[in-house]
Amino acid sequence: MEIFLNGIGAAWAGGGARELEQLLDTDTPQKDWGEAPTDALIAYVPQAKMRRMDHFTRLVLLSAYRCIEDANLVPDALSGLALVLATGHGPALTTFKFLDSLTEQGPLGASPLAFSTSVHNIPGAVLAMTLGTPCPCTTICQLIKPVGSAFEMSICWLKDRRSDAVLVTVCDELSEVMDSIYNCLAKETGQSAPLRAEGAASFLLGRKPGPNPIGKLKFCQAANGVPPNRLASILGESPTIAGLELAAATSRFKRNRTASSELIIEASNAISILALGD
Amino acid sequence: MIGASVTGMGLICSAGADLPACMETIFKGGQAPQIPTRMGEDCASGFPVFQIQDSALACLPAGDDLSLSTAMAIRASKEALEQSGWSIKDLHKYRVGVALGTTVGASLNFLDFYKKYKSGRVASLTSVKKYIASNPAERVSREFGLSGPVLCLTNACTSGADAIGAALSWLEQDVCDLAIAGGCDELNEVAITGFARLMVASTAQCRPFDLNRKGLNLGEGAGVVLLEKPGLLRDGGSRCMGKVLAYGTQSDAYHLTAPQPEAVGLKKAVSVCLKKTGLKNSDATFINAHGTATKNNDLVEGTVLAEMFAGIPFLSTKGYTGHTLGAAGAIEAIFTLHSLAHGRLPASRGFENFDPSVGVKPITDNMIIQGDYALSFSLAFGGNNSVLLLSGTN
Repeated sequence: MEIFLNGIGAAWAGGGARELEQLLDTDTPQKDWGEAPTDALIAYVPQAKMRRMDHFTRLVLLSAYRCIEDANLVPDALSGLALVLATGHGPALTTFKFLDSLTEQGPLGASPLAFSTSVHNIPGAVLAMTLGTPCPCTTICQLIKPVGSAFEMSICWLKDRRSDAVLVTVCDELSEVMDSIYNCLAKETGQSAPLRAEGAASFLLGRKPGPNPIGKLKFCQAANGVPPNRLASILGESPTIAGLELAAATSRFKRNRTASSELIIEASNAISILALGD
Repeated sequence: MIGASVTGMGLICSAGADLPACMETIFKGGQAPQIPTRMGEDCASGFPVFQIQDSALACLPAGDDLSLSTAMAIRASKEALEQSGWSIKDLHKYRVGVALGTTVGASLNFLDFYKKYKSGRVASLTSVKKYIASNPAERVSREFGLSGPVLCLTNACTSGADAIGAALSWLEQDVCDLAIAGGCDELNEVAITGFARLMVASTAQCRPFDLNRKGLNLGEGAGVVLLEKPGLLRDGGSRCMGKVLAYGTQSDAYHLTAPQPEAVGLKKAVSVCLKKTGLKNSDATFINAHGTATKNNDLVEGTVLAEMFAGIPFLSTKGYTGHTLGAAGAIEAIFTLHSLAHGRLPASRGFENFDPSVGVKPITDNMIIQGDYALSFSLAFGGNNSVLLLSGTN
């Protein structure tokens, strides 16, 4: 079965997929990019629906809607869709918000809203709700190759005809607590504190080419090792940084491609080989 | 190839430290939930749970970097592997994947660290390191030195069923040859308090589908199946104990915590399973319902059971185990397979009074069954609905 990559999207501190691509093309020194703005989500989602959304969910949605837009589709045209979300830590800020309410207010004052929205599959469910698309929806949470596992799962779902298309989104967010933890862990091993990054990247896969296909997915295999990641050295580290790197490389491929060009990505901590071409 | 052979099953929960012990407890009528004994001051009080017994805790692998959720997953995986007859050495000749579902087991719930961190005190990183080293799927794969794909699914209360469904896809799409699949979750202050604050936890024994239900009891445990491509049976010499034939899943896209009231998503998940296998609704010998004893859940499942499976026996096993969250779908798939293989079903513990708003009633006595197929339902936060279609024969 042929599998097509029909769209990409991203949301990070510097913008979307095109801006990520520019990072790869320049000798940008590493810096603290900070939190990714999500105000642009208002172009896709009514403000009333955004009111109680946490930052993690906004990142997921902004990246996903940009991906759908990149595919020249509108949500209403997404029939036979499935959603796969992968993360290393899940909605960390909301989890810690619940712990704050628990430790500050005690068990009787702990926030039920923070508890329910800290559940890892809620961002994916919110995406399905805002798209208005009842569909298969799954969330992966692991620190080793979350991006590769998400692609592997998505390709299985397409091959066993569970869906016609899969919108894969990967996301992790910054949090002071996690920064502090990673700094302490680095100190214990005599390493310098790693710069951390946040962001989301989305990929629309389909069994048929969309209106604006990027290429065929020829081969995808989740790697066992952890090869160096180029984008992490510029942007900072995150369990799902490989997804942002993939979005950057795909964006460049999309603009520069010729009929016979092929994109092969090997340098990521999640995708061993992902080839795109005709 | 349709379906995957089940050649081993492992289980640990409040009812026992392994599958035979659990089934013995259940067919003897089960045990009442108890006020939790391992929780600290941050835990909501007054909510009984199904906590694993001290004798079962003593059976678990230990280590400073090993969470209870993952320790239970390792224990259940070992039981499944021993039952299958595979040696670890022989398994290493094959691509063996690990797909496990969890909620607590992959959450940033290190409360002791967090409290010290927030108060500015020096916080030990022990619980953080445990979290990092204890992702259930990653750790189980490492424990047995496996080389296949690894997947940790966190779809709240459907996670265990979803992990078995994912493993089925792997095998059918030749991603691997065998798969350890299931779910695990431990009780902690965060989950107990969270469900209490959502006003869905009961202060007494849970009563799935009962008129006087007052909510759920949480539980803890792990359930693991070893799945194989059917063709491998000849090579491994393992005994087929049943099959996972199909998996359906559908998100309602309706509400964060409540299921779609007309059960559109659950019906869709059921229909995916039936369509794939060509089976009819009436081919089901019984249904293992999710049956949490929350009003929303019981009403939605009642709708599906009445409309699609009228007259077919059903039960909830939550009255024996509590709601084990990310483990529930896997534990209940194992109960379903065991019941098909042994031809008997336990009574739906906790049910006494018919609820006209639900419209159906579960079995109230242990019963003999005869048939080849059954369905196991799982529902979750986020509107997830997942269904496994299981067979008791090869």
